Amino acid sequence: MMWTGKDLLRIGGAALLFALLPAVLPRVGSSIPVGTEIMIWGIFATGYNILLGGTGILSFGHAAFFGLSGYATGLLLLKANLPLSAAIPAAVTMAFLAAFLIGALIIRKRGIYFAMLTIAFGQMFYFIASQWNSVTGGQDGLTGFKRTEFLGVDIRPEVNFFYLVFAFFLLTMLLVRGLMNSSIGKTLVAIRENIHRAEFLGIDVKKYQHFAFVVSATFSGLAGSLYVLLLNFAFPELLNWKTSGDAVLMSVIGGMRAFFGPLVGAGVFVFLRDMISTLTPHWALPLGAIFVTFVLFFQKGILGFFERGKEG
Amino acid sequence: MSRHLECRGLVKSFGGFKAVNDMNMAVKKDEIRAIIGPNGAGKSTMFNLLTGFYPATSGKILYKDVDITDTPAYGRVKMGFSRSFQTPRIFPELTVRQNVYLSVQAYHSKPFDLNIFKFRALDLPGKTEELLGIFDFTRHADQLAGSLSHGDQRILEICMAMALSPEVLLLDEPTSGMSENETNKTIDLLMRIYDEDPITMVIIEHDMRIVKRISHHITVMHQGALLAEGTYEQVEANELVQKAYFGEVR
Repeated sequence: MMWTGKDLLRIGGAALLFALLPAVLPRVGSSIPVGTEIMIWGIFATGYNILLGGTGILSFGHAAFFGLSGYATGLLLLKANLPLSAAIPAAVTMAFLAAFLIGALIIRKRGIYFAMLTIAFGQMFYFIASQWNSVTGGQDGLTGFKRTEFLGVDIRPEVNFFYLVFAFFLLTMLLVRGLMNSSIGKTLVAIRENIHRAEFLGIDVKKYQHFAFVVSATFSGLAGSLYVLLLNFAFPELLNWKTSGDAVLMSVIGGMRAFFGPLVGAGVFVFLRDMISTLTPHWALPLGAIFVTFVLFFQKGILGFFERGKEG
Repeated sequence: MSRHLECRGLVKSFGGFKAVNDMNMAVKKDEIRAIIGPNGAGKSTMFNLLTGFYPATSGKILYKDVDITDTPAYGRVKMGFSRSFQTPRIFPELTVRQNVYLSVQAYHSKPFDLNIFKFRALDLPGKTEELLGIFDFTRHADQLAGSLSHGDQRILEICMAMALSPEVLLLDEPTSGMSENETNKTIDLLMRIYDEDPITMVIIEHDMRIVKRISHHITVMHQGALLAEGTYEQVEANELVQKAYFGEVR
């Protein structure tokens, strides 16, 4: 089966928890968009973790696909007047194609060289976004578009948009879990665990690594598109390699070997950032300290710490 | 088919150094061939060329008379190759059962195979348990592979290699670092596998007692090239070999 009963129970439980957030968040001094944002970063990090925790490849370039799709969504709304039901898939397809091409170019490099190339390509996109004023709005970002409706549903109210993102979030969780349960997911784990043994089991390692790169980037694209719709705004920092670093951070904090690790990491990340940024504008500093603490003392992340090495 | 696996004029250079220098060898089908030679003779490099781990600098490798010199490692595996490494390459953070399962799955999968019905009909877990039984791992199946003793990790690697139902099994010093007891167990196991269903085996081995016991033919390498070839008795009587190999080891 694609999902075990336990998977469905756990994903269902998480879904229930998130479905209740719009009722809970405003009562605890927070707001609905915070919940929306957690789900969006959850999509980004969970998809990203197919590559990092699943296949054992570190990329600092996924912000490029996140931002590319975000800008594409904005531009398609602004210049082409596409309905969202077409703009989102089109933008995600662009992220997919970009990842396919870039992946084909760089996937043969290993380890640190690969990571460096992902930064290089990512930064290339970043500079294009921040310099190409006539199209992207340059440093000021892209504005002037607004999310209105999706397949006839008014998604301007925050709560309605929350549930649209929720639907994509649930879909992402099911797809990623199903993928990792499949023979393809197990093959990715084999590559992560020992690349040479995987090769000598007759696995075309590069092809699978490329696949993981493209699939994870496609989820980055979905997250980027939704994030830009949440803000009604696209800006160059979306494509900065630091945004890719956030996905790494979330995976590590939550636990990259646990399925829900990146999601928990995304929740903790958004929550801490919001909390600390009300106290000090230098919110990155304490967050960095927390990251270092996890790398040093809780290498398996929050979930890994509780689950003790179980392959979640 | 007389020539199952063959190499002609095989060369591998690292910078200016030729680790394998104009090597020729032909292994018959279902033959057990030992490759011996002093340290640095190029045995492991030769192995890595045959299995596609390294690309050859020049020369040809033929398998069933097909040129496979440019076939990547995974492609050779799909043609029937299987190998072990000098230091076992297993999945240390997965359980023994998961290690074997992944091998069984890999053998029965096409690239990006999602045919759940086929997998269910094949009963991959059942095949996994069968292999675990043959290799005496049933009791350790839930243990992490990395926590096994060095000897058991090597046997696990052979088990994973056999899960691919190979036609050519290449073992790089399968018993090095093993205790006397583990060595005997491993050799008995290999012989049992061979007797039940003969396959071509190419084995690098230092222990001359094992070489004598299991191999049909011996290839002696020296300084990257072929020094001598023949049965154990022929090779033992060869003066060049005595000088280069037996002379310095004994």
